[in-house]
Amino acid sequence: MVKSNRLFLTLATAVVSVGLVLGLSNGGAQADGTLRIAMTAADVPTTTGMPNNGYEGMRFLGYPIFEGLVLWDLSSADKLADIRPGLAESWSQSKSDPTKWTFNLRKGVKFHDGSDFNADAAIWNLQRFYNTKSPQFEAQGSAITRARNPNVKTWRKIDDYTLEITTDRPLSYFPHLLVYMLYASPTQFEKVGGTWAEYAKAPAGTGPFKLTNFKPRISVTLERNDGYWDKNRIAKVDKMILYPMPEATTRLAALRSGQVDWIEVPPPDAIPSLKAAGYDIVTNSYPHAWPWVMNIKKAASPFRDKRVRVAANYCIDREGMVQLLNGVAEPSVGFFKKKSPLFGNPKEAYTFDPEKAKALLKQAGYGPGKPVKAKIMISTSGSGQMLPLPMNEFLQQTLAKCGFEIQFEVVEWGTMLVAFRNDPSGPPALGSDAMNISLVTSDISQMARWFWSGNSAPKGSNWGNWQTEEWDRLLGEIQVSTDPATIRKKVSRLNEIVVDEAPWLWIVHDLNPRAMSKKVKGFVSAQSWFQDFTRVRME
Amino acid sequence: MWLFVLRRILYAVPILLGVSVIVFGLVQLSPGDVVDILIPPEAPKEVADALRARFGLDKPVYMQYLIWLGHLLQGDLGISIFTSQPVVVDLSSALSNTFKLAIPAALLGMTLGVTLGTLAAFFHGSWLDKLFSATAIAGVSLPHYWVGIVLVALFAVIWNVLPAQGMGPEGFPSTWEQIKHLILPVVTLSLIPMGVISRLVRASVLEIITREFGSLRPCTPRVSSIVASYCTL
Repeated sequence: MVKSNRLFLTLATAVVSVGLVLGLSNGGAQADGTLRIAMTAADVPTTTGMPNNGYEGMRFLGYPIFEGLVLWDLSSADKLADIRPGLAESWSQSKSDPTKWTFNLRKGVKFHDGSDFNADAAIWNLQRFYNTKSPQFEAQGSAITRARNPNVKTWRKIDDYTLEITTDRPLSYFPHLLVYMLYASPTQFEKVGGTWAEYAKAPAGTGPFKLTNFKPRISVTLERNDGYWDKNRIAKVDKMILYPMPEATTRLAALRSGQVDWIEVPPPDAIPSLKAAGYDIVTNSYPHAWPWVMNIKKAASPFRDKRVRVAANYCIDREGMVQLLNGVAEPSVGFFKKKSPLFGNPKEAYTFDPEKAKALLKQAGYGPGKPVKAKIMISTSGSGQMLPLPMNEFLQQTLAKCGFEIQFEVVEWGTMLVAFRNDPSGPPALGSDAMNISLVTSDISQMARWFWSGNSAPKGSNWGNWQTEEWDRLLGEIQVSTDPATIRKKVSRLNEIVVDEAPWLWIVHDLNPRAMSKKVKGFVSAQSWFQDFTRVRME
Repeated sequence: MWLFVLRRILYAVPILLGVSVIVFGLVQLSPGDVVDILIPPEAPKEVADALRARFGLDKPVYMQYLIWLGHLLQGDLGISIFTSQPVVVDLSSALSNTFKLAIPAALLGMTLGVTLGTLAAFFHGSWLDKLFSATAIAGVSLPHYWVGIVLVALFAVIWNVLPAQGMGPEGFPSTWEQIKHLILPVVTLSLIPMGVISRLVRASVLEIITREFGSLRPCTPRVSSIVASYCTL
């Protein structure tokens, strides 16, 4: 009996060992030409053409499959990505009525279902977003589009390939907003029975990839669109499989086990070991800011005083913060990056200068025995929030050296979003004097969103309700201007003002780290929230 | 008998209603709502409110609950706001995945538990008994989430023989590609039942075999095969 048990145990051990040794290999299960990416999203972003999950959704389930009249130029890693013609070959703003824009649509563009993109298809999509009574109205896609494009008023087909869109006010940067409006196929919508639920399973756009397999919560498979209109941007990989993996450690394990070739945002602590193990860590500057948005509206907020705001900006150890993050961030001293031609020449050049900060606080009536007391709303996590808890604790320590006594109101990401959309002096703000929320800094359209008094919360996204007469006046002039040189000059003046007035505590810009295996070649990390996957190849 | 079954079913109705009220209430307690997640942070309040009204989230909470209950009584679970798919489809896919994981984990836990417990009892006092008992205690004591991480670190990251996450291709797990995704989670989930069952079986078997008439000693090849079978059972 004892012998037979021993025999059984020996045999069992042998079987297991042989199984493992025979290479129940996990890596290499995918054929070459398949790029597998782990996203940070908790679920596959919506697939109907206006993805949720913020700009990560747009990055993976937006631009690869669907396109707008205007697109991002993601070809260069060396300069801030700007816009380029997309489904419209060109556009012009009417001189007599600057609210009218004419778009010359690109001919020969086909949706993935084989139907033509033309003015009718474009108008069908405009109705999908802006006409609640149209049969193709898509509630969620509409909300996302209207959030980013609130100024579209009317539209008109001039001929099959010419479209006119009118805005509710002159808006020189309207094309920068149109990049966030993506076009889906009307024919495919009819083919699947005229519901967005069915369309989500088999969508059709005009982009360089086609969606071929959608498994909610698990993965989505995109395949190369060989009939893509831009022959220079036919994808090099056959397939791209995207997995939602919200846990950073899970993404890390998936990469290191060979289950995926590329992960978004590896945990900063893991970067040295990933490098040592031969993985590529790709980072680049992109238009992201991780600030504290100061509450100017709350009557008792210490940040109503410009001197306190400027003092705080002189009391930030930005280099120390970058070290804390293992180099995956860069110091921020303004809305645009310091090296950008739009940065201008502000009076304030922020460094870590506690003495200067103390002097400013003294002028403002603070000093030893009378610290600046402020409560900051921070989130535990959230889209683009980096590592909010250790980063804010670091700020709390450095600010204490200058006489700031910072307290935190730690909330869930959802609570922060609710507060961000509401009056900063109302209950959702929980009495906060500032909010730590990461925001987009790509161009003037975003700048207007965060700083223009016409967008003050709760109406818009200028949460702190900061306002100066000069800034508003200049923005008004930019909106009606048609001269690019004048616009550039005035935009850089706007940056100078927000640096000197310090409505935000300028802390860091994220460098958006990605980790990928050596098999991934040809990726150009554009200075953008979005990336071009067509150049990537697998070796 | 039928009356008993009917009564049990009727008892279940208020329990299910209570559970649904609690679950509904818990969802309401969490900060923000689904609209805050669906639309971008920069969406103005007006857009968020319009979407909220469209989904009926602007109605009082009790109205939302009653509307949901009304539809449920007609067999309609509605369309998921997140996935835009019918909730029944989402649920059934999640349920089938649960079975794929739970059934093998229960079977493995039970098989290992009975086997180890029986062996430990037969060899009680020996090093094998100590080994199996220690395994059982470890199975019950070690937290799942820690064991899972260690298994992933060993089998996925270091040895690279099993996937770190995911469930592989859909469908009944019949191919290696599907089965290998099940191994680590199934092993992790089977540890607790394995430990509990193993200790119970060891105690029960030990109780039987240490009785006067059924000790292990007489059940050697010297006695008849019938007695031997009885002893091992």
